[in-house]
Amino acid sequence: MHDEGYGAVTGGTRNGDAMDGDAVNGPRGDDAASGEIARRIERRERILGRLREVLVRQLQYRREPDELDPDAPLFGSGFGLDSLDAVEIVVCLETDYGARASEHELLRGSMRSLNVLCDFVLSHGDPKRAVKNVGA
Amino acid sequence: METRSVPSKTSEPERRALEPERRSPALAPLAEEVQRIRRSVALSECDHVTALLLSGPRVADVVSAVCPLELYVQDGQMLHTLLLDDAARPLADLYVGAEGESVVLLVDGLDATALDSYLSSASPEFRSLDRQNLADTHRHVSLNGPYAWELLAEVLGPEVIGLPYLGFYRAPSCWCFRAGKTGEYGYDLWLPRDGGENTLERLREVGRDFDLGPASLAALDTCAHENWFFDIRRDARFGLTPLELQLQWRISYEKTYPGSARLLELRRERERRRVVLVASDEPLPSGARIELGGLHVGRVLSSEPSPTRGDVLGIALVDVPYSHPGLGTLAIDGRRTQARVVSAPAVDNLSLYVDPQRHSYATRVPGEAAREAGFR
Repeated sequence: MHDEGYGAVTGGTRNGDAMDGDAVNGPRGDDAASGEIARRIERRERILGRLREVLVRQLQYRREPDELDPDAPLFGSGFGLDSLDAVEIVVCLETDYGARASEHELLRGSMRSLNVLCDFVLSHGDPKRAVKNVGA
Repeated sequence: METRSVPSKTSEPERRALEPERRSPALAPLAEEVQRIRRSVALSECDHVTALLLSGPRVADVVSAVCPLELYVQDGQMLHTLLLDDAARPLADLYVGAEGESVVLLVDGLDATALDSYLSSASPEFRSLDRQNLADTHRHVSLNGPYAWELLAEVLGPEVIGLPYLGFYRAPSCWCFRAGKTGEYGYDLWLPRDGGENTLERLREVGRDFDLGPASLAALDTCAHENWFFDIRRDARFGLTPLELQLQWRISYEKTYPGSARLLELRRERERRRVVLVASDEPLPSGARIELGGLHVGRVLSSEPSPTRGDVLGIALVDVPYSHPGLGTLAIDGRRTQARVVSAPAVDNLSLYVDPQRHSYATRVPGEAAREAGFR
């Protein structure tokens, strides 16, 4: 059996002595901080799941969703997407999350990896639309 | 919630990897070289890549036996993949290119002798192929930077501008591969030892108009780190597989090659940890314990200053649920810090905004200058 992760999937390895910081970095690993982290994980994973779904179902990228690593490059190497795929992703960002790039440059810089796309959705998207659509 | 003790198990490869870091040169010259790669053009003399030209009736079968991706590659194109050991740990970074009936392998991580041994053991038919080590007849240099295309086009001809990423061709004076691991335009040139000096001289001469200067392998590796390119010298020390390294795009689960059985096992077990980028204003000691919200979630593998960003960029092995950017600041070895997981790549490359159809180094437009200022 391979070794366990550092922390349990649902809670990690609690070390209350280490923390006395802000709401995320502490305080002392209390339930409020853990709850906020859990919410952020859930939000992030839902967006990531939706983006993976777009790649596999709409762009017909021949991989299982779990093979799409979040920091892998989308264009060039990595997933090897092209400009037509980029258009599909732009449409998804707008329709699902209301996330619209204001400039071509901004958009280009926001399409480097799935994680960068997630960052873009979280910073440019409509939170209400995101909440409504992320589980789709 | 269940309270768990911190696992004390550290695998032998991980332990070895956490021992003293490779030493970087002093930051100032390195930073200067990195800035050159990021803003103009840098020339690097390379001897760390093995280039092997293979031909023969079974060449595709031999290469396919070791290639973790399906060998679907058209003439003049390359695949970017890995060479793995039986435990699925990367031994080398690999480009596989097709040229007519021949295959060219660009291998970073194994010298010619080790590569010969690896290919021979993986496929006995390797010995029957015609094999040419390009280093016997060529020298390898690379050009990297947002205006590398422009300099090279003046020396080799305009066809360079149309060369796609992972494309290559054999020019009269050299082999020209468009690859690079810096996030900027990058070209690997294999110049004939007999006569190639003229091309190199011409590059240096024309390069004056591009502020061409040298860049060391350390500078190329630092740029690769900032851009989240797998670096065989840095990232293969930890005994990790493509699953943890976020390199699944470089492998297939549907063919047989060294390490493929192990990858299938690991995938069934489900990945538990992932290597991520961590940015910090403070040092990130190798082996340091990472905590998030009071939970022990991972460990720093290595780190180095990022000249482009002006902070420290580390790679860390983190439990998958806590590997997302944006979850919060991290405690390092029990001390509160502003360190955080960041999305890759960690820099916004100028090359993304440089269009060979519209731009030129001589007349850099204000927008590009703004991008340069906006790196941090």
